[in-house]
Amino acid sequence: MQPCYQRNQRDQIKNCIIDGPLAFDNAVSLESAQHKGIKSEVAGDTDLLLMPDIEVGNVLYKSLVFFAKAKVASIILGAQVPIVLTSRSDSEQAKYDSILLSAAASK
Amino acid sequence: MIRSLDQMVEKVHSLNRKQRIAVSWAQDANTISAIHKAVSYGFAEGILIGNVSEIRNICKKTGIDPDLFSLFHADNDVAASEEAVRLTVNGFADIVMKGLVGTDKFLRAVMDKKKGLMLPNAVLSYVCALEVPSYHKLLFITDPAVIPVPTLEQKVIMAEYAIEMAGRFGIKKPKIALISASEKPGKHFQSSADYEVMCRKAKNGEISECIMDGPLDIFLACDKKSVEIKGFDTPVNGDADILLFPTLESSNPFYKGLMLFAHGELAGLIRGTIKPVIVMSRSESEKSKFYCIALACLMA
Repeated sequence: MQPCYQRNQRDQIKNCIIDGPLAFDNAVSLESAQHKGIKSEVAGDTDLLLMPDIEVGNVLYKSLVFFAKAKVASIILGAQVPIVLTSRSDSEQAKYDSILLSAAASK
Repeated sequence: MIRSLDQMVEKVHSLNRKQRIAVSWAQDANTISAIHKAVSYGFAEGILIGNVSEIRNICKKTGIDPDLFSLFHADNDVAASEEAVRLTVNGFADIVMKGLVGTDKFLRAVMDKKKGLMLPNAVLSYVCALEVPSYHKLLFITDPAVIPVPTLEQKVIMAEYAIEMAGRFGIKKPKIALISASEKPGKHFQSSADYEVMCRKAKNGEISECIMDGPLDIFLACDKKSVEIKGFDTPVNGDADILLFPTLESSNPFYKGLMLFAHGELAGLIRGTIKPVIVMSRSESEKSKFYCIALACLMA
């Protein structure tokens, strides 16, 4: 994460504040971050979590959807147009929300 | 079969045994109140090692009678850890617990080759029982704390530790989901190759009795509806007792996410030692700290 952080500091990655590595609880809970005495502009108030690999990211979002009833909307970026690629087991709501998200992301 | 952490506490209570817990560098209010609760429930005795006058002061402030415990003086955190381990090795205590000492210093005393508590050639790993209101039973997970990237051999041992723990909860043939991002094995994932070997070992009876399948994603492991929608045939069938994760980076956010957003509570324990070793994070809830002590008493 260090090069990412450094590039952000140099304004080579613009319009965001990057910090890491952060444990998940410190990234999303101010209480946890304060408890551990972590001073960071990001800790406890994260907008975007960048995960180290797909097994980590996939496990996290599915666990929050299933165990914490989280809502999710997702798209694939990097193609000429947004791609909606929901899982067969995603709810109707998740599929609809993903269409909305891709409409919003479409140029 | 024990289905909740409170049922686990009842079970420990019903065993009618008192486990002697040696606490290293014990002058910490949270630790003392958690031990006190276990002593009050009648299944533990506290041996507090550290700065005795500070321990007495904390007891006074929190309204706890210090004479409920045995108090031993130690000059510093390293000496206290060595003393806690020594008492346990020599049969004067049944469980060791980390107090105010840092985890690395504490584990150094536990892992000392000559004077420590390690089983010969054992793998040190962490298993934890999670209670989440949105799941119909306890969920055991491994390893969210100790082994960063387990090898195949370590994964097999992690499974064995979890099976053993589930057994103490009355789960005879636990369903183990080997977790990845998808149910499709991928050649980019080390986990896929390891899981294939593990499932074969389980089938051949080279792993203790269990129902093992993987790779599975979280949905297929824990949600019957997803299994039906996908029409995927797995003996775990959305009813997993144990989740085995490919890396610490994947299991650690999983349990922390459930603690923060799904009202989870946990009881966790280090495995691979001669006697139970309790290591708790400072940030764990009061309730979870008590559950960790009760779990150690159940496994002792």
